[in-house]
Amino acid sequence: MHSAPEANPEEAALVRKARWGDHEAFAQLYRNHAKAIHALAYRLTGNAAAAEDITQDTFLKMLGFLSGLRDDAPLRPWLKRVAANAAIDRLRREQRLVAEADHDAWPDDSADPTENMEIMGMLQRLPPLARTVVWLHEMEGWSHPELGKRFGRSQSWSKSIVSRALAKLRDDLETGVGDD
Amino acid sequence: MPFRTLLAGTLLGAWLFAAHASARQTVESVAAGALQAGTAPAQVRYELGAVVDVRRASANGVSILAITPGGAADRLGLQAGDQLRAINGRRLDNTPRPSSTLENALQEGDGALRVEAVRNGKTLAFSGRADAVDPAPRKGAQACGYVSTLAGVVPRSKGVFEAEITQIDGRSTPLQPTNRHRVDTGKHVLVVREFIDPARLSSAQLQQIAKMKKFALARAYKPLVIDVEPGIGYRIGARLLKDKLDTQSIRDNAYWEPVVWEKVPQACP
Amino acid sequence: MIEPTQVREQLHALPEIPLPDALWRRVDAKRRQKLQRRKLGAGIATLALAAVMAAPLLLPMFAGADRAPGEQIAAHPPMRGEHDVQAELRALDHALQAAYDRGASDAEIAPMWVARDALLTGIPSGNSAIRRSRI
Repeated sequence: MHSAPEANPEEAALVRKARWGDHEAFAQLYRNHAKAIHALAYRLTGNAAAAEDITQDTFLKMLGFLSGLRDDAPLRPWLKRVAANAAIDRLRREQRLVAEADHDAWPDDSADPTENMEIMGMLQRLPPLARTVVWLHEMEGWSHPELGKRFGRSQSWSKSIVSRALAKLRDDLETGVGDD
Repeated sequence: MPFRTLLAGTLLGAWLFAAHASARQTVESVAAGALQAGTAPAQVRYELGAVVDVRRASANGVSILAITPGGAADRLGLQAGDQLRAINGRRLDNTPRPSSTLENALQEGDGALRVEAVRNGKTLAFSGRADAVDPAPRKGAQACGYVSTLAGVVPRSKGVFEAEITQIDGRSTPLQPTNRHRVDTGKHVLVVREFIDPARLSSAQLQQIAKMKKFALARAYKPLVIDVEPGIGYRIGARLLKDKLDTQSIRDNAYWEPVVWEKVPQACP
Repeated sequence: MIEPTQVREQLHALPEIPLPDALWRRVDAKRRQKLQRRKLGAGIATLALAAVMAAPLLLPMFAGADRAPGEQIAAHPPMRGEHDVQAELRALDHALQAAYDRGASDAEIAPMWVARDALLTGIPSGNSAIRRSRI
């Protein structure tokens, strides 16, 4: 999951066919990638409905001619990026609704209605923004400049979020708080 | 896969051969008819019901860019993206004048429509009826209306400024300023550009607009579809949207919109 | 003292997330919808549009769209009769074909594609011109 996959010509052919309406090609691509995309969306949003919406939108976007997906580019990273961006947009929209009393990413209460606690595991102990940044950095390999830019903040903001989040997770592990 | 194509090709070949034979005769009779066209009464025109890029023909013909829902092409099962290789026996691949070839092919069929198209590398055949359109222009006071950009005085106090109509129904307007354009009643597609008084904009905004136009001039022109009622003149202007003068909005060409700022009675001759 | 790598290991060790079976049906249905719209030309022509608008997706009709796709449009466009939409589509397609017939450039034709796409997708073309044009 961390090795950078190379462009797969068979897959590129599937994408082309899917774009031109080939049902089986699309179904194959869905079979290959939906689980991973859905899982990512779920980790980032903590919300089953949002995860499904994002998965759907991502696969539909793949069918568009203007999606920016090039024939020679590997598909899975592109799908993940689209899904992650959608999750981030959603998060930013939600956060705008929250009173902007402080620019801190750590509200006192993680009043995030995270569903299935077991699935989210120790991630549930992080507020939504921190959870998203940490996951993208640690698991998806997004750099701090990328994260800063995506959230409209600086790379040092991202570094700070990640280090605080990791510290918190470490603390939770040490004290035995969290999952299992 | 190859066998199927071979089979389809053979069947298609046989069909095309027969079609070509009759098409040759049809072409001649149409040509002969055209010479006498001056006195002939207006005939029914046949249409495909699709937008086809007839500016250039490739080895597979001309491309369908859009299908008009409910039209002949739609009924036949054609799709946007299909390439038309032949219509009613006339070939469109590598033809030097695709526009007139397509037009002739449609009219020659006398309402019949036989299409050979290429989709995803596969050759497909379709047949059915073309759409019949009565081209007879309406006469009398109920027949027409007008659109204009120079008549009247634009209400600047309401943020409406002059505009220019550069196309009507896909055809260019004359370069000399025309007081008004006569159009049939019904829907028409205008392409408009703004002539907003520069004094109303800051120099930064003007610069941004110039940049936008330099970057993508196509953005500076906007569509306006109007439904012309008989005996009415429509005055077209450009409304400045004061809340859309930020940099991004200018880049998106969202700082103005074409409007009908007044309708006046204007009798048709 | 728990090392950073252990935190990462824990992240990796989180339980798998099951893919809901019902999701495929939903996605498949949406796919068909999208292809149906494209069949009518909502997508192909936008390729040409993108070239002349010089920014794919940043078309004037989405100007002011800091809303996400799918989010409700606050100013709800008035309900249009099916007949009316059909008439407008026919007018647009005729106009478009006339432009191609005379050999117009992509740049000249682009605004009419914008109008057509806006009509097909039901989103007003970035401004209310299309609505206001009807009295």
